[in-house]
Amino acid sequence: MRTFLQLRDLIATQHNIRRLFALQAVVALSIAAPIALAGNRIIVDDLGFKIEVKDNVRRVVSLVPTNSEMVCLLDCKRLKGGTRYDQFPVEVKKRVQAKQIEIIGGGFDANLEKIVQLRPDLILTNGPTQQRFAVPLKNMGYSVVSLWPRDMDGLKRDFLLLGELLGQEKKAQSVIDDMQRRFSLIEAKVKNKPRKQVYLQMWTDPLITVGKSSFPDWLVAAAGGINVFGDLPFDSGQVGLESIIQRNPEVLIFLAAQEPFVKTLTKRPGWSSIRGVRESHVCFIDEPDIRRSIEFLDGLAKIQDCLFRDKRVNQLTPTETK
Amino acid sequence: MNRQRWSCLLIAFTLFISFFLALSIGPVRISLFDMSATDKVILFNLRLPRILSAFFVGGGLALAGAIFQGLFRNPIADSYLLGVSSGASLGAAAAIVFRLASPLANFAAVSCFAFIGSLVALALVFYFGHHDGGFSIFRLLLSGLGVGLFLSSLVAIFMLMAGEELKALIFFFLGGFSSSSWDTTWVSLACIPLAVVAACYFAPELNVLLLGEETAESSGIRTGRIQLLYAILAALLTSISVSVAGLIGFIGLIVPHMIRLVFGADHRTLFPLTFFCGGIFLILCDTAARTVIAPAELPVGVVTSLLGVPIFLYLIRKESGDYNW
Repeated sequence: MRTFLQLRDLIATQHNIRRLFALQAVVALSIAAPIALAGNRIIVDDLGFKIEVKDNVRRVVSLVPTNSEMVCLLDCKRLKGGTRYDQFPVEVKKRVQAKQIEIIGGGFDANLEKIVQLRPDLILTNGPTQQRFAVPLKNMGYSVVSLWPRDMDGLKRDFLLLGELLGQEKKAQSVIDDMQRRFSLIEAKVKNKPRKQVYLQMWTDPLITVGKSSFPDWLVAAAGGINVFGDLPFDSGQVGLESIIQRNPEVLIFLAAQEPFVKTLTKRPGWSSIRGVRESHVCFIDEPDIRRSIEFLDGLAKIQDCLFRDKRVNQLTPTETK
Repeated sequence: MNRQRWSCLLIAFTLFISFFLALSIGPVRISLFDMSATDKVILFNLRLPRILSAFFVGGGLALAGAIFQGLFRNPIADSYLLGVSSGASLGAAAAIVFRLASPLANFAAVSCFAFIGSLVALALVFYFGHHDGGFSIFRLLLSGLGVGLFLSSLVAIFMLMAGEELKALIFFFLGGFSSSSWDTTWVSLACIPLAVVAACYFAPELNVLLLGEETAESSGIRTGRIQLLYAILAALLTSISVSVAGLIGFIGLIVPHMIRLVFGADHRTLFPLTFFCGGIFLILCDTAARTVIAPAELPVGVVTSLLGVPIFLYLIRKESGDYNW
């Protein structure tokens, strides 16, 4: 009985806990208050959050290579922090080497201290995975905008938004116009051709492919194909060889890093019964070609070349390597 | 006794030093005597909550491990014994998959669901461990095992359903403090000290209990209730820690053994010492984790075993500590 009385006492102290919470909140607020921004533009980001952003954004930190790329295309000088994977455009690489852009870590292990040290007016993250960084930064009063495009329309919207925030509307619009023009040309090529059934493999063991609403899924569709696993409700997911055989894709696309796997493809039991393998319609693409980047058109063109065998570039058929 | 007094002083000193060290070193160099506004933000909004979280989580996990080891008289019991961690994982996974608390909006909310999940797991464990109006400690152990395994398989199914959020989930399970801020720290700040005080308060009863349940009953101790209280306390400590920092292995297993080797198995000293040493140990490990390869971070679990195991093995070889339960 004594134990339970003690337990009851423990419960009775709950209102003290509540008081402690309140005290803590006051402390946290008073620490955070000095850096709260006097923002004067309210935008809605790709996750639906209303974010207040300062009118004259001078210092941008990006937590994703594709975001760094967009900022750099508009005004590279304002990009003060990027990830260790930033490669495009070339100017980013140069500025990183010249220490004009600080590395804040990678997309999964961004360093909050480094970000804060750069005194950013604007922090750019991607979707849900980076919210664990975005939330504490927002709580400290920083403007954190999620750019997470799903397709070309999303990319356009994000790029124009960024142009607006950086005061580079005209530049953004001209890049978008150019992109639209090139995209129309690529699209026109396949307008009247029947769509190809495509399997795009992201990982070899286990077999992982892309699903509905992923960016590569959209790329395949835009190039004139249909992702045979377009019904997977995930961005990417594990599939069995059985279902690949059953869906019998006409074209198989692998990432360049999977070359050793593809070289032995015909020796692997089951694969030879797939139409694309039988007809040697197998291609490689590089990982950067399927990023959700504003410069996705080159990748798109490569996928289209692969689907309709316009060029033999990047094609390596299993029979040739035997 | 003299040794103990010196040890207490030593521990207080080490705590102070490690706290100061953790506060002053990091990927960004800050002089504590000449700070800019940015430095202050880094120090008070990033490092301070992180260090406090590390201290309370480390202490909490170590103490939970010590309690379970004592309670089950089993040297390889650790803080994740009763399936609490699976419950926490399931809570977090469910919150993310069903968008109850989207990691988009608030990571602290995911932590809350992790905590609720661990309480549900705990309730299940006690429901199945309950028998004939009492608790058998071994029944509890087995039902903890079963519930833990079952919930883990549910987590695996949720992970398949998670899609893009999968990665957020993986980082939750990996554990660590890289995104610590005040809104996750307050949970541990508010709850863990209470559990620690309670654990230390009943330590004499637990000591008697370990002489055997019959001896304890004859000394007027309600053994069943003491066992139940401790099982609940340890599970609460674990669930708070898991919901704040994900799964950090090793601390709950090794730290209590280190203390036992050096100071003996009297729970009156074991519990407070384990709590403080666990806290100090995790502060130091986390400091190493965030500075060694900065700006990247090592997973803190890797650091805990890398630093802790050598010390532990040294102690096994060297100390002739009283190794009774």
